[in-house]
Amino acid sequence: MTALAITAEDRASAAIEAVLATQWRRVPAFVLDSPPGAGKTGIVERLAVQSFARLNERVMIVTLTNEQAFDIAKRLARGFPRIPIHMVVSKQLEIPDEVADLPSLTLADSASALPAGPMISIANAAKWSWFDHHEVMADLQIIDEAYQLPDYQFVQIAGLAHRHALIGDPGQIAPVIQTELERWRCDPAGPHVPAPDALIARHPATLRLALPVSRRLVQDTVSFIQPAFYPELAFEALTPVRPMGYAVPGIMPTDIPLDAPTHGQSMTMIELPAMMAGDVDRAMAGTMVATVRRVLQRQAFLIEEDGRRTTVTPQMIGVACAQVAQVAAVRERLWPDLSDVLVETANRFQGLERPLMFVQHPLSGRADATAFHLDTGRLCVMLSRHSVACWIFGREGIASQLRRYAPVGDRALGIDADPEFIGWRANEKLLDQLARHNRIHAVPAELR
Amino acid sequence: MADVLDLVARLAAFDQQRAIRHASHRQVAIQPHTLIMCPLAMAGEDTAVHAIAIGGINQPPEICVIGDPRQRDEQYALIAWLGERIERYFGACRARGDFPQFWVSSSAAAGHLDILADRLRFTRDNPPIKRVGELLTYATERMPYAGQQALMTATGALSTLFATGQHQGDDEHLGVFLTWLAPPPGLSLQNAIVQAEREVMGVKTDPEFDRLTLQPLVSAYDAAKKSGASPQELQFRYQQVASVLTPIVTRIYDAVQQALRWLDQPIPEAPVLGELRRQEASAFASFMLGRDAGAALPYRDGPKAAAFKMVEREHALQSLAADQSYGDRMAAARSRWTGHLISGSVVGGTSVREGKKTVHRLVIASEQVNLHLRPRDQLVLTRDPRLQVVVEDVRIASEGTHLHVRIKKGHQAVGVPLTGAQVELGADRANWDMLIRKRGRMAARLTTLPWTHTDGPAPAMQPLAVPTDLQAAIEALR
Repeated sequence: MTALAITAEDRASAAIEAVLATQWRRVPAFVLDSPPGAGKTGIVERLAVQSFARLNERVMIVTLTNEQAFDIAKRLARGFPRIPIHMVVSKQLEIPDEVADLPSLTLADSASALPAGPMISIANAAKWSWFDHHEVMADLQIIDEAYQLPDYQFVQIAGLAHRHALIGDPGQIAPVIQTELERWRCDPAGPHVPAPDALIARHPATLRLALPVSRRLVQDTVSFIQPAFYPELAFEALTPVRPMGYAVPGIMPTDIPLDAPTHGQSMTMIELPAMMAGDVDRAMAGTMVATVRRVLQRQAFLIEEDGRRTTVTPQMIGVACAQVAQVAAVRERLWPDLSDVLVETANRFQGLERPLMFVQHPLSGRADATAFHLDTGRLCVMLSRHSVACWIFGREGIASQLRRYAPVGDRALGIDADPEFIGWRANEKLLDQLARHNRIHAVPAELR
Repeated sequence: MADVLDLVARLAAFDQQRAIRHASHRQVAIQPHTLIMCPLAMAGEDTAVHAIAIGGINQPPEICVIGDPRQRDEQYALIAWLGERIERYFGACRARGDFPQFWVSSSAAAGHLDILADRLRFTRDNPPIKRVGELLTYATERMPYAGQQALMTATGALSTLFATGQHQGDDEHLGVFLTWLAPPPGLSLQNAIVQAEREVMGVKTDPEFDRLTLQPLVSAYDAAKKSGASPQELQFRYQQVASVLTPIVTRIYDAVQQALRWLDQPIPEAPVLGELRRQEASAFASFMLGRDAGAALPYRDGPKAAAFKMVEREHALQSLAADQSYGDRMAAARSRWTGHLISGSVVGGTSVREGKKTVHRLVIASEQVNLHLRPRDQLVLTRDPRLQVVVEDVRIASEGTHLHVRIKKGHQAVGVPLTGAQVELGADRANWDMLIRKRGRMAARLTTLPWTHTDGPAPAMQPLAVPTDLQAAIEALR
């Protein structure tokens, strides 16, 4: 008898079959935990198409932002061009031409503009909450990035569908709520809690599934990300390594960290001299842009599975920062030749990916370490957007800064989670791992 | 990042050795009929009020002290005394269509009222006491709402207008804050602060005072009561307790009065205060209608009530943030610092015919370090928000940053800014009334709670046979 090896691909495929089967089994609600790059959006697409085309159902897809709604609309329209899709948007919204021009997409601004029969409709949660229809209008509600949807928004849209699929990455950024939450701190199903957690707290029997494989990340990255950010969600990489190289060899000391991915090191940290820079570190922004430029000058290329070489272009590069002002500082320096590089905050980068990523460490150049900067989700998102290589940029002294600002341990009765401590520990662990594996490269001064 | 401006203000105050004003407009509404409340709790008894001073602006306090707040009848007597005044005050405000306002010394006192309201409104055996708790709940439940004007702390209000040269946490001592505002002559500021800190300004008395002075008096009072002492002796014992607590609450009361005088500067009110007053009056009217209808004020919220509260709080926070930068010069400076307001000059522009309409684009040069914007953001011209623009690109230039925008609407009403014109762009003003529409939508939507948010079981549905190879069937549809 010969034992058949079960591959990562097999495990990924079996997980998708299990997710799709929930709809035939009429599971009223399930939560799908997905590590970064496991194909969440692909599952959203497949679930929607299956319900629409095979089960003749009405499907509503819920996103957190308009950008995510645009992205799903594009993917559905391009992947399944024969299937009509609707997007619910307000009349004032600026819609990118590439979305507005999709042939199978119809824009709608009210319930009456949606078809009476089977349909796939996409909108963000806020738009669905304002929708002029208050009864059940869909058979299946699919929530993408569900861990970012607070329960008080979920309750406003949950009644619009019979069944619910909550799909998200439990390691990513928690719902952004600015108001004071003391009143609900001890409630595990409080209005501020991510919708999947609140649903499970209220209905512990809710089916919980997980995707076991990351298609985007390579194994080297998983070995850093999984222990630091997903200690309770085991997963592996589908692809052990995605090689890259440069047509122009490196000749400067600062090329050493850029060459790291050519030796299979997908995560590298570039450390600038210590400086208290506040939120906007112009020198750091300049260095990041100079490094992006250097990668392109050296004609970086990716080596595909068939051995083909694909030259890296600005569209294949992303820059992630913690704050909007940092994004603006980088973006303005990319003009005019590198305007196609995607520069965004961690929040906006969720659901997006690029082969090469340049990340500004949230704690870089700061004198403090607040809950915002220690947020595990924020750093996790930034460090899991790349499929080939990620360079982390930070000022020297982050480790000592973490030691100085150890979490105070402000706990709520009945709540096990301590996000600040988890974030602090994840940051510590990541830096420790990078140092142990000699992945931190100090550069003597800013690059221009 | 706005903290940097606050830090600069604190450094300037430290340099001058006195508090400085860091707002051009008054940031809080002061109701002329406001009620100052200064309660003192008993050590170890967070919900027991031992003494309280209450009164209006520039009025002497009415003071109520009890011998031992651990005695329920005495505690209820004090609460009933307080309740009479609150009931009368709320009634008068309601009759005028106005809202009531309480002033306390610091957030510690506000927190004490919060705990007190929670405890009293669940009193089972005494409806009048329960009623006091319910009325107090109006103010304490408003506290977490951004821009609320129902329960004001003197220290919080002072810090909206003045910066001291000390750590923010130290500003919570009202006596110290007042010392920064008017350092006493002939004494160094540091020594004056040390002296001020010795005075109780929160809700708890000094532990040494408790041990050496108050506790023996209260024990003597209790012993007299227990032994069935004569009314004269009991009165004497009570007077002894009152004589040591009355000066303390009076000092706190006077300090709050002093704070109100400092806040009454001859400066204009922040424009947003008009709206905040309207919001508060509406919240109060709604709260009192709820009282008339006997609506419950639960300690824990169900999903529906929690959703309403969260929506209201988030709305208040965002609306206040949007409106604050309009009017007050320091608030505008903070917004410029954080990049939420963008100042610059028009350095170029084009008008191109696209289809049936002419599209106007501007290039605005800004020297701001922080720009909180990204393509497709919609901004308005702050001096006339009818002109709306959409950000198309942000580019670094030889001097500063060039912001490329397309005019979305309003160019006919406002006119297209000419080259050389100074402009300031920011988020549009808040639409406060949107909350009314939102509440209406939510009420309709949540008439019946979805099963996901009830304790009931998930609905049972008849399963279908699961076909094989589900993925292949979907791939065939590509």
